[in-house]
Amino acid sequence: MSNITMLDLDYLAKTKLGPFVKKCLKHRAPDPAFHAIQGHNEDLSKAMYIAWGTVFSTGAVDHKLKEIIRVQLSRAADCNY
Amino acid sequence: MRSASAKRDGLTEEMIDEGIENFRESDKFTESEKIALEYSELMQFEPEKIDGAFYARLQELYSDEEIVELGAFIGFNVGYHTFFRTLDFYPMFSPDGHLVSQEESRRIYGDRPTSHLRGAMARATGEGESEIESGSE
Repeated sequence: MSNITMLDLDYLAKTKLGPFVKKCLKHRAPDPAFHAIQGHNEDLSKAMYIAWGTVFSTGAVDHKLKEIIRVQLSRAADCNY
Repeated sequence: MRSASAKRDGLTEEMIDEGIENFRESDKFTESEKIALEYSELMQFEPEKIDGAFYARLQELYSDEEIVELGAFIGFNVGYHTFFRTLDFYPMFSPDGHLVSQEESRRIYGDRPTSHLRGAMARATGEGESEIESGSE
């Protein structure tokens, strides 16, 4: 069990995080667990989601390269996420 | 869990594995891509080695704007993966793109990172029961 309660996606859909959860479900990255965990602080979760989208999906560096780096760092941290 | 758009753009699991495990020797990556992967690896394990000389190498292949983009992306991920690891939760998506419970996700991914797809995908598709039992990946 997670060390912090994971909030239900149906509940989050009714909060200000609803549109961002929907995007997670569509794009699969970040995994919706991003909001299930951080949704305990909705404003922070929203801000970090936007930051994530900016660093991951915009800019001049190739998105595929970023995805390899993301997985590389996930492995390095032994992170299941 | 993988970026759907990266997959649409042609990124494969083989390329991910090659990029992580063998990028230095690989002929599948450009010099720009190799130094970005090295940048990331060093940021995680040996940040003290990212010195002026390393940035000079980066600047031969990337603009300062791109270096800032790469560095922020890497730093964001180093921090988040470290934080999320301590929370001990699992992805809500299975490797084949279905929403699953935490129990099911734990069964699929086991104790290894999601990026070890060979075992995870086999478990998600029901083809890896023997691997689960043996604890192999």
